[in-house]
Amino acid sequence: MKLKLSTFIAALCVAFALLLQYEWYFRNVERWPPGYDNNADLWAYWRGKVEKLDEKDVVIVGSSRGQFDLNIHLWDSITGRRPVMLAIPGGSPYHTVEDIVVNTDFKGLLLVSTAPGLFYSLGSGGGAAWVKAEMVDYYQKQTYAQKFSQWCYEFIDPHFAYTDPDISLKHLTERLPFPNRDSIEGGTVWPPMVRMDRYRNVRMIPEMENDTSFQNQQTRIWHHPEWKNRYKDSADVIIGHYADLARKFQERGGRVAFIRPPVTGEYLEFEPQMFPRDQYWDRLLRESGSKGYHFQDNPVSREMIPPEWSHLNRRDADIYTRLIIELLRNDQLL
Amino acid sequence: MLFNTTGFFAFLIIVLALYYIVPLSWKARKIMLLLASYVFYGLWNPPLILLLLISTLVDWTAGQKLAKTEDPGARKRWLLLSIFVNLGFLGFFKYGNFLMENFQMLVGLFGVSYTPPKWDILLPMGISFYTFQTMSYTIDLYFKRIQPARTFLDFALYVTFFPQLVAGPIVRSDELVPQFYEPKRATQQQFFTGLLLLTIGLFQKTVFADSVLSPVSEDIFGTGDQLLALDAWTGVLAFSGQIFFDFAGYSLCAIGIAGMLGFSLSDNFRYPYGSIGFSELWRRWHISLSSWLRDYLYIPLGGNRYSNIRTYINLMLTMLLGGLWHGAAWTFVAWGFLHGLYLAVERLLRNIVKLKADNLFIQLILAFLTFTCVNITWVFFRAKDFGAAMKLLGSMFFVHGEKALLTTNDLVLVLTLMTLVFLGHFFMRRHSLVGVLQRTPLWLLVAGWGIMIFGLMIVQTSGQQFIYFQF
Repeated sequence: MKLKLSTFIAALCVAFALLLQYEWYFRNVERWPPGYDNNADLWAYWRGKVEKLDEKDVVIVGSSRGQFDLNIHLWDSITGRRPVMLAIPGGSPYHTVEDIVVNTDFKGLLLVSTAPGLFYSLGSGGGAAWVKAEMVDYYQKQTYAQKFSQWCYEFIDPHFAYTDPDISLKHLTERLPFPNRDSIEGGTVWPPMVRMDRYRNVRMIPEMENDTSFQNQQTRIWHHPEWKNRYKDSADVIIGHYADLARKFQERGGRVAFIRPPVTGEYLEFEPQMFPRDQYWDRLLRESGSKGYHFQDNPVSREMIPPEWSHLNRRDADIYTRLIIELLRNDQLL
Repeated sequence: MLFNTTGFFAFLIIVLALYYIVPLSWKARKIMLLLASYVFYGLWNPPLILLLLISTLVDWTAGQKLAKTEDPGARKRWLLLSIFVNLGFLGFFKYGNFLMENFQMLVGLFGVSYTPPKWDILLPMGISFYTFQTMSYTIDLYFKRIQPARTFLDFALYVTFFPQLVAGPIVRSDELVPQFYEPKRATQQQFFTGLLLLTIGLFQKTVFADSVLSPVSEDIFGTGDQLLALDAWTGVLAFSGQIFFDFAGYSLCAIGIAGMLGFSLSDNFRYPYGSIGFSELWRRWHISLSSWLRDYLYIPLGGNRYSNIRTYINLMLTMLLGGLWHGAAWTFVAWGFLHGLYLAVERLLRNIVKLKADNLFIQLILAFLTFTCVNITWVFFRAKDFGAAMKLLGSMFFVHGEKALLTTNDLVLVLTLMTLVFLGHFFMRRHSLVGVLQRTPLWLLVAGWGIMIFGLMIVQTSGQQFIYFQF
């Protein structure tokens, strides 16, 4: 048979008909929001901006709590400067801090968010090694072709829900119902939780804030031992690493502050047991010579209840952002 | 630039628009294609365009001299210059560290302690492909098998033609260069067949190779543990499928894109996993490389023109070097050695056992045996070192193994897909993809094409590199 333009258009119609239903299903049934992918290319784009910042600017590093719990647009409206958001869900800031201190001349405020189960991972450990390979090194080696592709992809990505990597075809195959052998755990099926914009500012979606079925699905994941407190490596090495970098950064005029965002549920129960405050948090601040803001030290943040134990809803994220700005200003770090 | 990225689609649309819509002379369109090819390559690493330029200039000059001079000494010198420059690039960029490591090991055997400086050499994408392609041009001119390219532009475009620049097919000049002489414009049939082949190639790469098979093979080859035989075999089958879909997918994309521009490139894969025996496998797998090795290595070594022993030595040498072409590591040499051994044993058996394999069932058994042996070779190809390869082989053959690693979903998907691949290849042995597409009813073709486009849109892989780019 002959292939013609009409054949291709008919095939495109089939593809778009399927895509429309697919998008409709994920957007309206599973409630995935459209938004930007939290991917290495966008991270690399903002990492590139650090090179041009001055001493009044702020860079936020850390894991998902740092990214989800601070509203950088609100920060901008209060301070006149929008922080560069480089926190990475599921990752430790071990290599990001090193990259900024060693490879840039940035002299502003470096705000390091700590989630103990990820933060106390060695550079070669599970919480940090992938950040180096997939983010920090990726930025250093990113090609023009990759930058160009990301630029093109941004015309599509923010308008669709189905482009979320958590519902990629690979992740969907993990939902197949075949029972596993006794020693095998299936893949993690994530519920939708947040929506991210081009500035990597993340806001929790209303479904996760209000719907207990979403919250329960997420807390069941956090309850799993693999996710509860993922990594616990040598405190000596890790704190030493941050302390060395903080000193170096401070010597060139930069400021460093650590934050420990609010948690509840099993995180509130187990994190203090696994990472006793005096041996970890207090020691980190002492040895790095830096200021730190632990959520339990403030009556406002102490009372915050993250809907799924680990991340704040939009209202609390805004309150927490204002609080951190106020604390930083009180200490003349901002 | 990778075919499986949004950036490439923007690039392709711009190139097609300039090629078909903007009224340019044929020469201007060829210049546009040449510049587009440099952009395609340079967007990865701009300075490495210099290598392409040097390779082009040296081989063009050598080719011109070879075409004009009859002096045997001068002809030999020009050929040697071309080979020296191309193999020099390959040797330095691809085998530099490997050679130094082996030199260090060798002198260590004599008690000499030598630590070479660590070279941080970037492997230029596709260097093995374009150096082999340009070398074939000067070698063919030396033996007067072809006519030289008429203009520098035609030759430069032959070296850099973006659809097949970085991962083949390794096209001979007499196949592609004459196509540049006359204005080309794809017919509607040719254009949309090309687009369909591009869709199928991308579907193979992103859905099968990257989404279904790659995570499983990475899990199995990445673990240092001793595994249950089921998991070990599934991981190896996953890699077997991954490398096929990755590379055959790329080749289909290349052929498809060339077709959309009105050029034709020959097949690089013809259902290799349905082969009965290894000589047939090598007529179906990476055809452009195996024919290159046959024409420029095996036959010049003597081929099968001398004694049986000499034939076996030639066969083995060709496969060992074929293995080394794939990567600078002894595991690739071992992969080549196994294939050489298989070919030698097959040749020996053919001389002794006269087997009439005209029964479909017997053919299927022999094809399955071939496929199984091929899978064993992939262990050496993919494993990071011999220790890891032997451990995995031990798991595959029940020498040890306690640990289950894969989910049932992975087992079901990989085993189902690879069973279909094997049976599909076996029953497609006497057919061509384009032939089958032409016989497919319209409704089925439209539905299948639509589903593949849909698959490409939802797969959401992160633009993983094609495996053969590193070769």
